[in-house]
Amino acid sequence: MGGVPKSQRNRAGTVETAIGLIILVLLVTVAVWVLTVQNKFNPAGKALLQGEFYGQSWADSETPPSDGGAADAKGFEQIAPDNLKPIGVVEQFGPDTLSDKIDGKAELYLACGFENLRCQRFALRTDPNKWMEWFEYDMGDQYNAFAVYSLQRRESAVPLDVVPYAYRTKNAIFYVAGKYYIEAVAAEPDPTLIEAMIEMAKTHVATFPETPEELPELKWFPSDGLIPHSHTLQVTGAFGFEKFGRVFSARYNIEGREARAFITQCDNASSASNLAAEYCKFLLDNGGQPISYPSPMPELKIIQSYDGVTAVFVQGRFLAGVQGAESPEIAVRLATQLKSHLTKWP
Amino acid sequence: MNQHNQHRRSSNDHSYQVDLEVLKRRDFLKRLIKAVLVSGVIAGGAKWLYRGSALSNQEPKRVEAGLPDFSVSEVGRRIAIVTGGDRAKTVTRAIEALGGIDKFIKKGDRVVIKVNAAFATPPSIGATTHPDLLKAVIKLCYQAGAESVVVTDNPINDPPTCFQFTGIAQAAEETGARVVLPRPEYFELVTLPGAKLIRNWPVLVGPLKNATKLIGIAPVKDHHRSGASMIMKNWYGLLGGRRNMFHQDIHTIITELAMMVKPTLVILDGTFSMITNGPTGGSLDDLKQTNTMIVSTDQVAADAVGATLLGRPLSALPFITRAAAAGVGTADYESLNPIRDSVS
Repeated sequence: MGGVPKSQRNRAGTVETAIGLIILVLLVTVAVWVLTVQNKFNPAGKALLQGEFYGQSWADSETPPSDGGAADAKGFEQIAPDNLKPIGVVEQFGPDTLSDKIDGKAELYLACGFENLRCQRFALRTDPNKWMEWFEYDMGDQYNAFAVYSLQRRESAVPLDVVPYAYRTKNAIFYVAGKYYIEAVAAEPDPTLIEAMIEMAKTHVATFPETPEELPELKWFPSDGLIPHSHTLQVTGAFGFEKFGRVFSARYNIEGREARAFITQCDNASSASNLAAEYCKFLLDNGGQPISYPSPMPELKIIQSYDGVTAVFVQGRFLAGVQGAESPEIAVRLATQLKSHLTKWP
Repeated sequence: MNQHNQHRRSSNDHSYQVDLEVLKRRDFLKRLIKAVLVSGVIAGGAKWLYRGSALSNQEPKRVEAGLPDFSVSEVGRRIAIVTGGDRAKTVTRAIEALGGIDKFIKKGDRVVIKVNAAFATPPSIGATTHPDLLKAVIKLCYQAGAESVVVTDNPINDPPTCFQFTGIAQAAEETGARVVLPRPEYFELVTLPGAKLIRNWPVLVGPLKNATKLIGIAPVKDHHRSGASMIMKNWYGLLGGRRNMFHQDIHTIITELAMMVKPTLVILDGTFSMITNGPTGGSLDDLKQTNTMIVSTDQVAADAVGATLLGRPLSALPFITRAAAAGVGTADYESLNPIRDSVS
C-alpha cells in the first residue's frame, strides 16, 4: 500500500470536521436530555399508559369488581354459619394491589411477607344493616402471620378460645391459623353478629388438617413478670436496626415498671456476638450513651437510648436483651432473668 | 487497495488525487446520511420516552399549575375548638364561633366537600368522615344559600362501595348534596411550582372546576407511615395514579398537598380519635373518645391541635412543622387565640 501517506488517506476537511462535530454535539445533547428526563421519571405517566390514571383497577370496566380478577376466587360462604349471607363477592389483592384495600397500612403486611388477601362481606340474614367483613391474609407462613397479628394486638383484647393466637374486641375477632392471619370486623358490636363471626372462625379452623400450635420460640421467655399475650415478632428491621431479622419480644412488669425483653437466634455464637456488637454500635451511632452499672453479667452492654435503657448480651446462639427499661437496674434485672432462662435452651 | 484504485493510481497521480477526493466525498455523504438517520432515530426515541406524544393520546392531558385558591382572605387565620360528643352540635358551635357559616359560604356558592372515604368501612370504625358530621355541614352550607354542594374523594378501591359503606353517600343524599365519584376525565396533570413530588401528577380537579368554596372534613387518626392522618393528609385523596409510592416520602407529599390546596375551611373531627392501628383501624378498641371538634381556616393549626388528641409531639409528625415552615399555616395554634367552647 504505497503512494498515499497514511496521514492523508483519512484526513477530513474543515467542513466535514465541523459537521461531524455538530452531529456529535447533537448526539450528546440528546443523551443528556434523555438522562435528565429519565432522572425526573414520573410514574404517573406509567399509570396513564396502563389506564390507571386515577389509580383504580376498574377504571376501564363497566362493572367495578375491585378485586383484581377475583371473580373466579373461592368465597367464604362455605365456612359462614346459616345466619350469615354474603353481601358481596370475594375480593382479592396481591402485593402490588394491597394498598388499594388498606392504603397506609399495606407496608406493615408487605414487610412481613404478605402474599395474598381475600376478603368478603357478610350480613345477618335477619338484618342486612348488621354486616361484617372477613379478611384472610395469606402471609406465607405461620411466623409471618403471627408477626402481623402480634404487632396489631389490641390492649383491651379478650382471648378467644379458637386457636392459640386469637382474641376478640367489642366488634372484631383476630387470629392466626397456619399461614393465615384472619380479621373479622363487624360494623357494630352486635352480639348475634359477633357470635356468628366466632362460629365462622371455628369452622374455618376446623378445615385445617392440623390444629394450629404455639410457636416454640415463645418459650424462650421466662414466665415470671411476663405480661400475658404481650409477645410480638418482628420479621425485619426490629427497633430500627436493619440487620435484625426475626426478633421475638415480650413485655415484662418488674415491680410496676415495664420493660421489653427481646431475643433473636443466630446461626452460631460467633454470629450472635458480631450482631450484638453491630447493634450496640448502631445504638451508639444514633445518640446512645454507654452506661456503667453493676451487673452479675460482666459482658452485658448497657446503653441509654432515646426510648429508655437498652441492655444487650449473647447466650450461645442467642442475641438477647432488654429494651425501653426505665432504669439500668430494671434492665439488668430482666436481662439476668432472661439469660438464666435461655441457658435451658441449646 | 482494490484493482480499480490500482488502475487509477497507475494512470497518473493527478487523476488519482481527484478520484480520492470523489471517494472521500461519497464516503462522507454516506456517513453523514447514516449519522443523521441515527440522530433522528435517537431523538425520536427520546421524544417517545419522554411520553409527551404518548400522553397526548390519553385523557386527560392538561397541565395545571396548582389549584384555585378557595380561602376567604377577609377571615384570616382562625381556629375554634369545641368539646362535646354530638358532632352536629360541636361543628355548628365551632363555625358560629368563627363568625357563622355566612362568613365562609355566600348565596350562590358552589361548595365542594372533600371527605375521607378511603375505605369501605362502617362509620363506627372511625376511619372515614362521619356521616353525621357531613350532614350537619351540608345543611349549614345550604342554610347559607349555597347553590350546590358536592361531596367527593378518590378512594383507590371501589369508590361506590366506599361511599356506600361509610354512610357518606346516604348522608349526602339525605341532605341534598351530590356525590361525585372519581372518573378519568376528572383528573388533570398538576404541577405544584417548586414541588419535589407533585409534578405532572394526576389530581382530582374535575369537581373543583366550577366550585367557589372548598371544605375539608377528616377524622383524627393514627397512621402507620406518617404518624397521623388528619386534615393535610386528607388531601392525599385528591391524588390519582399509583400514589402509594409517595408513602416512601410521606411527610413531603403531605406538605406539598397542603401547599397545593387552599381551602375555605377545614373541619377536623376528634370526637373519637383512632389512637392505634391507623389508618384503617378495624376495632372499636382502636378509638378513644376525645370529644373535640376543630374548625379552622388554618389547616396546619388544625392538625397541630389534632396531634394533641393523639398524644403525639410535633417532633413525631414532621409534616406539620414542614408545612408551617412552607408558610401554609402555623403549628403554634395558640398564637391564633383559639376560641374554645363546649356543648352538651
